[in-house]
Amino acid sequence: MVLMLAEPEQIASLSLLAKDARTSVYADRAAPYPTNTGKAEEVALLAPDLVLAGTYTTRATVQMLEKLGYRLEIFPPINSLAEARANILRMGDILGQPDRAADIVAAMDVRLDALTEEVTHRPLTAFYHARGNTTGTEGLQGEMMTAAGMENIAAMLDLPYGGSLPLEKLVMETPDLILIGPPYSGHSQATELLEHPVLVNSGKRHVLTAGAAWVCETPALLDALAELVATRKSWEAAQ
Amino acid sequence: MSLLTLETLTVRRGQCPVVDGVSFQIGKGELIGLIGPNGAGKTSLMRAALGLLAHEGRSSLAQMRASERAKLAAWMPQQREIAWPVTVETVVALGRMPHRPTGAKLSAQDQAQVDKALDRMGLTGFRDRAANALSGGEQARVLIARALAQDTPLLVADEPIAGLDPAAQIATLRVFRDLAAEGHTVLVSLHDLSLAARYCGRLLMLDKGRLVADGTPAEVLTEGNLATTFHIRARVIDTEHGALFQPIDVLP
Amino acid sequence: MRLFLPLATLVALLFIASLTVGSTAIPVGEALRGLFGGDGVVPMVMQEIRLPRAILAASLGASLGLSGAAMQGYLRNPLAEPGLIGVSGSAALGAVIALQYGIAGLFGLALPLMALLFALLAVLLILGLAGPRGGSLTLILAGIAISALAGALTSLALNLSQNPYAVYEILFWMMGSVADRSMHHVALALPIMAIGWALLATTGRGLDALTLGEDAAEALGINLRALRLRLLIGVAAAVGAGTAVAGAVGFVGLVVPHILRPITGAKPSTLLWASALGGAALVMAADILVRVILPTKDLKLGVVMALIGAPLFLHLIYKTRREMN
Repeated sequence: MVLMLAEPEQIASLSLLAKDARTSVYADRAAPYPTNTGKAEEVALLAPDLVLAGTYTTRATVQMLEKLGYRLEIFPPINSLAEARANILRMGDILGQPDRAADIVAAMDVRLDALTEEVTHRPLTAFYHARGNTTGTEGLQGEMMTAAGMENIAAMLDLPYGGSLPLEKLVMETPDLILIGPPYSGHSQATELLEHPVLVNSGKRHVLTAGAAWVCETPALLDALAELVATRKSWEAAQ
Repeated sequence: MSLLTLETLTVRRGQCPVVDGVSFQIGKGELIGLIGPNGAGKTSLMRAALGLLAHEGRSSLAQMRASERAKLAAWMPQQREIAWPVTVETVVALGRMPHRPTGAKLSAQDQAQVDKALDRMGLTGFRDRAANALSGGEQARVLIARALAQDTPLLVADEPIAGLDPAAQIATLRVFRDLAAEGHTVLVSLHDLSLAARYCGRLLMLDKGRLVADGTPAEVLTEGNLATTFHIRARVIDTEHGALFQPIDVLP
Repeated sequence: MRLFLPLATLVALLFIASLTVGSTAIPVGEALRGLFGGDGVVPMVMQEIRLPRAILAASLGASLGLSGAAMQGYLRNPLAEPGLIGVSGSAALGAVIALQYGIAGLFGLALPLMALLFALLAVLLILGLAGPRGGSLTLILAGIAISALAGALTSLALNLSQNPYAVYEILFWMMGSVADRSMHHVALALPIMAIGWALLATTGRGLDALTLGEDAAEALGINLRALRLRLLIGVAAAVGAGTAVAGAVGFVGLVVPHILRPITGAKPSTLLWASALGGAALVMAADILVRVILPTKDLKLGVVMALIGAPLFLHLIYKTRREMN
């Protein structure tokens, strides 16, 4: 978000995560900037005018930087598209680029409008994650699934905030679509579940490619939404 | 026919020889006592002769394959170990292992040998008791019975009567003598020189790893040998019930 | 042999129960029919989810029970157990290294083989440190040291991992589970476990003889070196392959022989196959409990096993102490 709104000379350093293509859609644009690993000492030595942090930033680090007298702006994680809009506008104000932020939000609204449509038959969909968790109806991902015209399986199972869904139960509910996040490099037992033959052979498993787009409150969120819509449409076509 | 031939058998612990160039032959139908003070190398000699310990020189038994040897010689170690609460009969039946193929059940002949061994050691009434719950002396008798059940031409036993009550000591040596009379050979180490003199037809005396005397009890248990090997002044008195060994004093 | 039929029946019943209990209710008749073909969701769930789970639970249990009985027989110590003395933990370490550093992807059997290799190292270390003459204390101390080292290295490997699920991963390897495994896992682990079982099955005669100590066993015609080798590879293969797909599950090898010893007459060779059946039954029962007690909570098999096993372990130590006095 900073990369989108700020002038290049405004940026002293970015989180290491900004350059990781799996967590940042703007990884290539982040490449020229120095990075930090989020340690208080490291950030302090850069002597920035402003430190932007998420609520995921280590509490001790935030408190330390506040004590040292730095101006801190903390961004909580977003739970809806509305919050994403609000965050972009707030960031625009903080960085002194309100016009740029307003333009971005307006463009997002136009695209969102184009993507949402009346759907008569919503496919029963599970967004299934490593270690057998499923996405709830509340929250950003749930909202995006609904916006894309999907019926979230969590609504049926009474899991508003998502939660553990054994593979067997998932299969028995016979969803029309099973969404899987993009594979993370490095193997683990947790993600191995997503490769279970029951899922792979069901013909319902759809691996999403726009993994990083889900993470941050940027217009790229709409890329993720577009992928969901396209997935639903290809399902409709196959009916 | 020789059952066991040793030729300059030597066992070293580090550089130091604990068995030093021992040679002898054992034939059929003998009860042989192996005597010597603590640390003379009795256990090492027996283990090396059975191929259980690395050695130099030659032992006719050590050269055989373990499975072949087990049919010729039974071994009762000094360490009396019965690890699990198995029945007395199960322990004794282990003696039949070399004679039956893997997985096979006890044959009638095996069972007869087990029963005979139990009977000989007076253990028939203990048959179904947990062996490791018995007293030390009773466990020793169980282990002797186990070695008997192996029914080999040669039985080697390391201090089998240590810790037994007098009656059991005498009974055990009687069993060994009966075995010898039946044509088996028993090589047994022991500290009770009276019993050694009375029951053994031949004694081997070991001192600092060397075989210092080999012959009948009268030939071996001389005042001179007892003084140099055991450092005691003692006499062997012939009585109407057999030889009696009487220690008199410790030599300086 | 009197014991064989009841134990085998118990294993068969628990296997069927394991197939018919799940997070969704499927009528028993329909479930069992689904095992043998047909189209639709039920056959898919039965054949691809529940069947591999039941097979893995049974074979993991058999591996652990058998390995525990074999190690106890060899070391003549009722406290020897693959989990307790660090064999499972080391196998987990091997599996984690294989997974995290891409070795698992090199060829099909790389994962279980790495687990096997590390299990082998642990068994070697245990035999070297505690040895057949070593007392319970040496064994437990060696086990604690090896377990701790394996655990620390596993945590280190995951600590340095790029994977966001690494923290969860630590829990998996520590607690073990057979939930939602596929036939792919069965195909990976079962053949290697079977090799382990075959090797361990040949140790019965030697272990019986070892009741009387090493010297006596050797004089009974047992080749101790060959026995040790078969035991070593057998335990490593059975436990290593099991751990590679199910994580470390503790206490099975301790509890099962402990319970069955008095019933089998304590003879090590009898205890071997009895513990294999008993272990299969115990792990399947625990895995059914996992699904019945908290069906929505993803309860881990290893946690339930530890809750069953730890009190028995305490009892065993108490008994050992009483016997020493």
